[in-house]
Amino acid sequence: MTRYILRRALLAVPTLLGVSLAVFLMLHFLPGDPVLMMLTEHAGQQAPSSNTDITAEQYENMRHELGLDQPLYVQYGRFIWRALHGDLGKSFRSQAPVVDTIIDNIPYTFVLAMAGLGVSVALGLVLGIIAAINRDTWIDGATMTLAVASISMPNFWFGIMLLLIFALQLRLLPAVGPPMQLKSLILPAVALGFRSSASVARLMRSSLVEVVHEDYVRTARAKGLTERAVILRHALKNALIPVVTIVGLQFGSMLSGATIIETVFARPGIGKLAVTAVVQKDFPLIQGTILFTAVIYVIANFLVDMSYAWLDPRVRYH
Amino acid sequence: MATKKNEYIGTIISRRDLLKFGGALAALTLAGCKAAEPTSAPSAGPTATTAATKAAATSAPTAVPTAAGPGGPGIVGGDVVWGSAISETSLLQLDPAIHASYTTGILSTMITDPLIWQYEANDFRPGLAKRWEVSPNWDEFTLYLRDDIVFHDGTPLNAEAVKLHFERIVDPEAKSLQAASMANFDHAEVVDDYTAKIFLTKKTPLFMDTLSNQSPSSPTGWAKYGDQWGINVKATGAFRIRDWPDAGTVVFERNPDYNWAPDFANHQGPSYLDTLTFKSITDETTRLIALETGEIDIMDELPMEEYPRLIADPEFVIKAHPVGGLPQVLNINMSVPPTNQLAVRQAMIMAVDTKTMVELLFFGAFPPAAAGPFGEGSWAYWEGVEDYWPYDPEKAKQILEEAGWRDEDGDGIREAHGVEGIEDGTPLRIRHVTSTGYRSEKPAEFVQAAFREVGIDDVVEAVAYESSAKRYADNDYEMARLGWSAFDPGSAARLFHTDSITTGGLFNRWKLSDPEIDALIEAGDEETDPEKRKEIYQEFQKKIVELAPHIPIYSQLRYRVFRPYLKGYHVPPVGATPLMHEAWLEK
Repeated sequence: MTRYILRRALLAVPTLLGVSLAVFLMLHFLPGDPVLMMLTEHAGQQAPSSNTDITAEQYENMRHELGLDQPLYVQYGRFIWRALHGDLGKSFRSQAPVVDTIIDNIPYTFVLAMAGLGVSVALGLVLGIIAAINRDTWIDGATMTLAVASISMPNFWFGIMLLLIFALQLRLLPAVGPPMQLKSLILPAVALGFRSSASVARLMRSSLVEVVHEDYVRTARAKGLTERAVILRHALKNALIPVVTIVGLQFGSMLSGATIIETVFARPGIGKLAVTAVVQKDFPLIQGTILFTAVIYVIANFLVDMSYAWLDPRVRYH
Repeated sequence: MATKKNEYIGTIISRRDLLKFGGALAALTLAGCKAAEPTSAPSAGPTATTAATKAAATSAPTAVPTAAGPGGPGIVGGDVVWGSAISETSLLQLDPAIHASYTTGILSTMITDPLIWQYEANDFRPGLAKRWEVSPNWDEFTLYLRDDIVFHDGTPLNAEAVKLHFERIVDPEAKSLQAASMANFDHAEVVDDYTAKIFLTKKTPLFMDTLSNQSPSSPTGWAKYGDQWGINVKATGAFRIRDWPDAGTVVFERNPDYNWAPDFANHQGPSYLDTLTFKSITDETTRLIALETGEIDIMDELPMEEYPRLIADPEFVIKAHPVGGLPQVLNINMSVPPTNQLAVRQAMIMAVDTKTMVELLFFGAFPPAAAGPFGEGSWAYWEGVEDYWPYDPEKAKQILEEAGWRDEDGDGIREAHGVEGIEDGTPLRIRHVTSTGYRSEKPAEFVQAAFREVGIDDVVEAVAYESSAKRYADNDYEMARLGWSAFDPGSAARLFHTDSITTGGLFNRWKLSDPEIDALIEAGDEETDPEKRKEIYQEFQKKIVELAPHIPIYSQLRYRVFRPYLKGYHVPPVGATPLMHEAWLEK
């Protein structure tokens, strides 16, 4: 087991290096010049420079200051070296240290992703169990139809619908409340988790239906255990195995879906930060957020793998 | 598999139990939400200090009028939340000497003051400098500062601070995005404690305009805060930064020392409002929803399709501020065939019914642009441009026919027949390279249909900014798109200069290179007499519009929407940002 953990941890290193290299190269080879972008977003009232030659000089100065005039391998090497020392550089646009900006934004996305995951799992499990209980009845059909409908909705549309109904029409919940308050989390979490709950529901349903017919369940019943004990202590745990896979993967989709939800609900977060950085061609910020997200993915997948061993003793790792 | 009934699972939780449980849960949620009305619940984020959002305000505005100036009594106290289009990353740099963003500028205006105010075009009023002297050669500017002004950190505003301000902008280490505006800066000197002198490398009459955009901040603060300066800017404004409740929100509070508002302000002393909170809400729809629920009191811009409803609703006050400079236009490339022919350009412009297009696409929120290089909001605007190239599709067809463009193969698109420099049979096709988004794509589609009516084939390519920039640089297009907001007409005029084809941001998308026009532009930069300058720009506009340079789309307006209980909204003629220290709440 320890060997397995060590191996997985070591494998993370080339993964992260690969991600950072890919992002770095993409940024530099896609069209668009960050310096030009920065210098051409101008304040509304500004005197023109009557000597445009100086502007060209300023352009070169800025490139030099940002290290963009160095060969690519030098720029990449510098980036990695500094990253290992905890320095992800400074945002081109604001000159704020990237590490600080990311750290300031992590909690909001994390909380949102967790809340979204919670909605997804809770709703999915409940719907899946109801459907399994009432298998082949109209309730089963209705539940599963709801599941399909939720996947078909774009989540930004769903988010705005929630805002219109619950924030504007009913005034039950805030539209743009303080992001860490529970009230402000409900709508975004539902918007985020509703779609994902569909897969959880379907999987829970089929998994539970299958498990209930296993021999050991029949044995447990024959031993005289109550139905509740049979299901909750014996059947559910194994029925959950495939669900855990899905949930672990969904954490990844929570992080990426969070971008849209964060924009619609005006919440700070890594997702929105990454998109804004890309639009503004803020290289250090783009690299920093993507690297960070990659780390999160690696850790999340690792944890999901570890949880299998707990859930299913039959699984052993080499 | 035997279809066993579900009675086993069904006994775990009966349907009735589930319904009871679900109902209880729903009821609890609703009850909890309603009960937990806005209180002083502190936000739990790591960067949160004291929650200072509107919801947490417990002080009701006290109805104590202050005898404070010609604007009449304002009510002291209260908190305003402003829904801003600013992005979170732009929030991180509030120093106007470093950033160059219009949206950030709205915020930094609240916490800073300029050295000199420009009330109207060329009408300069004292700001941090109570008076000034300009050398006859417009290359030495002496500023006499007030001696009673302190920065938000208590350090005094003096000549030394002003000198350091200018030096920092041109210091490459500071990475100031305003460096280009200091192109002619040579050095600054301290004459005495409150007198500073700026030396330029050459005659720059426009430096007065530049000075009206300079807002010094505390040099002690730069050193003290280092990397964190952008979110801790200490300047001289009527508001100062209080805290950041979360990563997308900044709270400004009253600066109690403030006593140096400009002479045209309706209120001289410190702000009526206790706090002014800016919340980053980049999505327009969400911003409007937040305004309608009352979670914010004022917002920037508005979704255009909502304009007709909002303008008719007494619950909303809408202010529109015209923007000078070049309106939104579709530049026609004058350097490549077939658009290098005046006849083609004339026909293109006259084929488009700009007025109908703008009403249709923008719901009345934006007026149609005039045909020339300057919008109607500019002080140098020449009304003569309105006589050029009116909507007349029949005339457009006629011009094309006479120029040798005829449709002889019956496909609806004209081809060249005896057109100089173009092979016979070449179809009249233009490529319109523009950006993505409603405001670019919809006009493009309208124009495309209008062109079809007169026999021009229009290929619309809406691409990301970087790709379009490359196409413009490579001169690989016949029609582009551009808008340029600037107060001074010289800034918009410079877009048409030959230099702007290859330097700066490469904004000369007309690829116009005319030495006479270049000379006019340069003369406008050099001229110091406002009347003469206006004349130069009138001639400039005439020369430009005669070239049939672009299809006008819309004139930009900056919108602000707020609730009627927000009083004292006052925007001086120049600019689009209100002096918020004059505002108060009447609820």
